[in-house]
Amino acid sequence: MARLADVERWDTGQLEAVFGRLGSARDRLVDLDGKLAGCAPPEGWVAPSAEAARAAHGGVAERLRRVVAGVTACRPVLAHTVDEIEAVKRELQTARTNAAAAGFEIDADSTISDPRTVTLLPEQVEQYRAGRTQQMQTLRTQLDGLLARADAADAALADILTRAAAGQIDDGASTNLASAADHVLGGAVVPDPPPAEAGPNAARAWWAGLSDTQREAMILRSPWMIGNRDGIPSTVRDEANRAQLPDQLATLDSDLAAAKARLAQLLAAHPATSTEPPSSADLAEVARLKDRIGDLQTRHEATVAIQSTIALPDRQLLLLDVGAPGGHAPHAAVAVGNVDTAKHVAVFTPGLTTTVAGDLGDYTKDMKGVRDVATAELKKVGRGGEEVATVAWLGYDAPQLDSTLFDPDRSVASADPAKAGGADLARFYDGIAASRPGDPPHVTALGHSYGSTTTGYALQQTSVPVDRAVFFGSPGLGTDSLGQLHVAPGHVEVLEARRDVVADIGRFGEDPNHLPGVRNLSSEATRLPDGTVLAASTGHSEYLAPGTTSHHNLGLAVAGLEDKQVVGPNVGFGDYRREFPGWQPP
Amino acid sequence: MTTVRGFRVHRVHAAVATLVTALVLIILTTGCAKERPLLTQADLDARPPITEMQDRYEGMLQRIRAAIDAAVGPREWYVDNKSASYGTCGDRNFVPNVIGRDVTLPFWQFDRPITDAEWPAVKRAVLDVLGQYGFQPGGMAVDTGGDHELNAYETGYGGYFNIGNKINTVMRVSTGCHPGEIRIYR
Repeated sequence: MARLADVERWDTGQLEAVFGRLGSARDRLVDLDGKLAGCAPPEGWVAPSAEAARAAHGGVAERLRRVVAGVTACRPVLAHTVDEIEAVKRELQTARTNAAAAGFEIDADSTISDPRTVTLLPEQVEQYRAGRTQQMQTLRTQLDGLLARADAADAALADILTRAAAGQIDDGASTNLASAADHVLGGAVVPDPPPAEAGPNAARAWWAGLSDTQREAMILRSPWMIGNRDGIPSTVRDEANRAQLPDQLATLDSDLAAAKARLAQLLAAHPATSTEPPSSADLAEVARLKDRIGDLQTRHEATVAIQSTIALPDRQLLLLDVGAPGGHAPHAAVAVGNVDTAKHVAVFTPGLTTTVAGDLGDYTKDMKGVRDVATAELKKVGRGGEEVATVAWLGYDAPQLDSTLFDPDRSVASADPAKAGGADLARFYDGIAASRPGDPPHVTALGHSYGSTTTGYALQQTSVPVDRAVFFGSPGLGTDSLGQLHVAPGHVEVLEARRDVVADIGRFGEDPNHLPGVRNLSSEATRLPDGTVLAASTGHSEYLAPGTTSHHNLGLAVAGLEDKQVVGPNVGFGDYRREFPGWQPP
Repeated sequence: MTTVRGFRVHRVHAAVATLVTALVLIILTTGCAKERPLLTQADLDARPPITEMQDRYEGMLQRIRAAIDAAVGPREWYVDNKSASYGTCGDRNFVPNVIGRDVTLPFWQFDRPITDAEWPAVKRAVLDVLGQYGFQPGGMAVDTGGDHELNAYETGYGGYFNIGNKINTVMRVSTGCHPGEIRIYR
């Protein structure tokens, strides 16, 4: 049996890393199906060497199918082992705490001793001893049970790993790599997930009710059903979304090639030298194809940007929706850090002209910078064990400087895009809370510019309040009352940089820094009486520049270290002009 | 008919109002932006590889630790590899989608503060080393009641350094954008 001290040292993080790597390996292997079929010896090849080639190809294919079957079989067992060991460690900790409170000691080999000394009357001694013996036996039974569970989990994992390494996992005479994986999970019948309208808590409950094999089957067979589902654990969403990227890119490549080929065909049919004018139908198709090619290219660029952004360590892809031609803009959300385990989680929503293709990398890098500040500040106050995760959420159709500018429903002058995005963002916030029942993180909503308006609308719709919200460069929150925002009282904060006129216009509600109850943070350059030198962020787009007062304040907000934040009045010319007679917001 | 015409007039007014407001917002949002030429992939590729910068700044942090120890006595420094972070290169100085990397090296720390009396010597020692690596102080600076903060910037490639303390003392450096594959800290 495993020693108590060993079980307490077992690092499930290492197992989780292996779980993730096995998933990536299986996806890459299954993606080789096409290549494997493509390099099979051709049918018409008749010669002794052809037979040898077929035998060799068949051997490689068989070995690969066994590897896929083995990897697929290992993952549910790994997931179960992680859950079981975590549960055992938690219960061991509770047992230790209870034992210590009762005066017992437990050593590394789980030997229980009773060093407590008490003074008793002679007639009390027997009863006391019997009671202590009974307590020790109960504790012994509990510890033995926990260590046996740890042993069983360890043995099950060792068994499946050994059999997989020896190629002993049956692939069910499958004919390709995908079916080899499917065979291993063949018995897994997965109940349908609840409808999206049921909300994040229903999604979490559904996921929690699945067995490890059912979960594995879901990720393998239907990743699109869970990758964007708020309420599902972030590590699962990340894996499901990553699994879809290669296929999505291949589909976009293929659609682009087909559209370009058709366009070339049409143009070739009507060369410039032709005296016969193209038909109106051909002209219309050319116009449609050009639109389609532009649209597909936008989605292709977005997909490439997502791939590039998540190629770095510590990234989670929590939203993947590049859409379809003619539909909404590509959406994505990328976390820096692990949202499932972080003590502090921030979600940042950007504004005007934001696109996945052009900005996902920038904003994810900005969130890395905010996370660096929060992590460093927590270490400085002796709380270095608290993890931080920051999310760049590009999950709505942000207003653009294109033809939509004239559309009252989609223009930057309209609140409609913010309202629509706010509904999705609210579900995203609620999903974080739902995915971590019993272990809620400290959640901070960050919104910049038009994104702060989207954030404001989202916070009016969440089911679970967030712990803090910081609005910077905000043209309004979609409400004039902080009471409408589901944010912990006293934790709505505003940054307004010098010469950021957008932050004063109050287009979508009262200027936020004038709202009663708001906490104004400084983004100024000045020397405070205590000698502190503040560094300004100037204008509308420098709030996230490292080393500035605003960046420092944002990092501290995410870490929940408000006592270290620098407050300031946030009053500039833009605020004074409100006093002019007859002034109206635009 | 009147209703239809009225509706159309209303829609036209709404569109005009939207356009005017949108233009105001756009001018306010973008009008103050500084005009500067964006760097290209070729500019980025001409920079030293990211791993070379990681080596360089690991050396710099080592020298800063030694300089602080020499200035105010040895400290029990330790490093947290999990605090390292990695970014792509879109920091708005570049054209979109350049391929490069920015790394924040693992934070170094010791579990005690720098006292107000020690801070001037620490600051001098740190700035002396930073200067040799092209960093200049800037940004926020705190020096009050046991709370200290120093930021510095490397102007060539966008490197950034921070040291500060409250209960513990922590320092970190980011490389700015460079080409090549990163070395991951495990």
